[in-house]
Amino acid sequence: MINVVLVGAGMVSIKHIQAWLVQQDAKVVHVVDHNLDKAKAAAKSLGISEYSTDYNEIISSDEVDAVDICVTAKEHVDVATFAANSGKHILLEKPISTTLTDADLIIQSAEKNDVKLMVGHTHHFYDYGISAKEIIDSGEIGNPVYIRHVAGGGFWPQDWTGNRISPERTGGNVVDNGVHIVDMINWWMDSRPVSVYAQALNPTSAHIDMNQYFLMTLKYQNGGIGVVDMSRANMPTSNEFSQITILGTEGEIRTGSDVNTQWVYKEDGLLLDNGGFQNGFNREIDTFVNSIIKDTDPPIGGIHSKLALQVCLAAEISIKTDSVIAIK
Amino acid sequence: MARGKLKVAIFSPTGMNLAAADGFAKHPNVEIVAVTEDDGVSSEGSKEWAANQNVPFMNFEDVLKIPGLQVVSYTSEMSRRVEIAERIASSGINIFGDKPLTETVKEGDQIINIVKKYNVKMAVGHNYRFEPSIRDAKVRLSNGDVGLPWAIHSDWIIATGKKGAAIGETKIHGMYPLDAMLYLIPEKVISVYAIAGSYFFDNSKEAGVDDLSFITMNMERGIIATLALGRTPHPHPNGYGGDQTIRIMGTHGMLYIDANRPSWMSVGKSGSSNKKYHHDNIYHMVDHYVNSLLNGTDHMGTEKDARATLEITLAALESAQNNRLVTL
Repeated sequence: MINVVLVGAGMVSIKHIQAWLVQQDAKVVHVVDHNLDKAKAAAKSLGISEYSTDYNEIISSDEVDAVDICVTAKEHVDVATFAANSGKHILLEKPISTTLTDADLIIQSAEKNDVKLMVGHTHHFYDYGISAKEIIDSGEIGNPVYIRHVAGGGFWPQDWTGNRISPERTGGNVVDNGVHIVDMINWWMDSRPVSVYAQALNPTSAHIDMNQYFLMTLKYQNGGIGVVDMSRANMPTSNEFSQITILGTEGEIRTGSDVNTQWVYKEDGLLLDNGGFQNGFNREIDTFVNSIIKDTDPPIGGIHSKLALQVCLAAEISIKTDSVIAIK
Repeated sequence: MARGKLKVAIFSPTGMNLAAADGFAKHPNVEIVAVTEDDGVSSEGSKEWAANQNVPFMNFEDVLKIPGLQVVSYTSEMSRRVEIAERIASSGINIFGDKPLTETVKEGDQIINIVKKYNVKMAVGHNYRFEPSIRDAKVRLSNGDVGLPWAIHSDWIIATGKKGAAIGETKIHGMYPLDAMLYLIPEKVISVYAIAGSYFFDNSKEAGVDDLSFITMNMERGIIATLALGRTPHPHPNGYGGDQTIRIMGTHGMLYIDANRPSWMSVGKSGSSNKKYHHDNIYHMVDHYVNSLLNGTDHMGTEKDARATLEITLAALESAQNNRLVTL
């Protein structure tokens, strides 16, 4: 049995906890959070009584094999390098970090200490992501040349203390969420992005310093086009319109809101329920645990995640300078 | 008030101008009076169309002298667009012109000056804005149904192509969706970034022209606009002739147009297909222009509208060539 410490008991940890609860070969033995009440609540939901506000002692313990890091992105480097230097395997929430320097420190410390490092790009493990990759790899549509991923939603429910409205703590919306889709398109395109041009708006929450809506246009080494079209500005906020188009040299695949499994007409409008977004966290955590048990490389290591971060940081520069930025 | 039938002559009833000529011919308030070709050209197709309409095939100069002639609908080689427009306008006759307006923005400006100088009315065959769903959307936007638009995204990708357009898809078709986008959100485009290439067709690759492009634009008021444009060799998964969609994000809602709907999905002896409910954009376009001339009202789809889309398509190609943002 692999013993895991969960560090960070914020919003995303809820998904992790649900996945850990059904994991057969690993269990969370301790929860750490700056906020003791949050740590206690998370521990309770895991059915354990061990929790604290300091990760140093518990991560150093010989009884711990791995650390699941769900703290705010800016803190990733401190927790991850400490875990690596303590010889613990690392599952790290995305983005890998908020700077490339921090990403390098994390990657290098994992390599130096010979521990597994997997970054939680959950979309890799969703049904839709896997299905698309299977179709592409089958050769059915030839080589992908144009991938557009439209993912939308309304503003996140949170107050002024929320991390998501703090570019300082999360890297900002372009980094925090853009890495998901950039990583997906990199994976599907199976090529490296060479440049990015990005645009952004803040149409419905001008009082907050964030790019609520952003659009990245990526040029790939193989000549392919990638488009990341992400919104947290949709109105009404229940509008989670999505649309993915992958054009290949010999065919194409599409998915999105119009292929939802359920359409529910309610008094306050139409609810579209997309059954495709299931099991992502369960698969992610299963994959991490298996990579430890079988001593294999996790599918999304630091290098992949760093590339996604690099593109998103370049996109931030592109937005500020209104210019095309090369990805070196 | 209506003033009786409009006298129209057709200069070279081929390609899209043949479709426009058919629209004029079936209009109850139009009388086709002659068919012509460029000086010295003798086209069997044009003569046959004239015979079917029971009108004479005449020399161009003689056509321009027909008493009471009010419109010449024309197409020509790109290099002759300006010259022919001037010959028509200088005779005091209104012009219905094929798309693209001209090859260069400079020539487009020359046509605008000609129309102004001779005080005639010109319409250009950008029929997509006459799609019923787009006309409906214009009313919804004007009514503020989605609030203030902050982004507009369009797809225009033709399916089941046999070969790429000789001059590239951006040049041959870009004006249709761009014109509709500018009709729906009439704000000036400030800058353009595009990636374009030949991904699907050998003839496009050999000619060095695009069969797919992705164009993103910055409009006044900070509006972001994108257009995915091209032609693929494979069928559309929905059985459509291609993508014709527009998505508008607003401060209070979202509007989505799928111009291939409403439709019948069918399976028959020839396989499966998707048959759009019958309507005729080209006739709607001709009807709009005819009514504006007969009633002395303003019309849309003018030479100025066409010049705006031409400028964007040329900027997009320049951007794609140099991988940089082009300011208009």
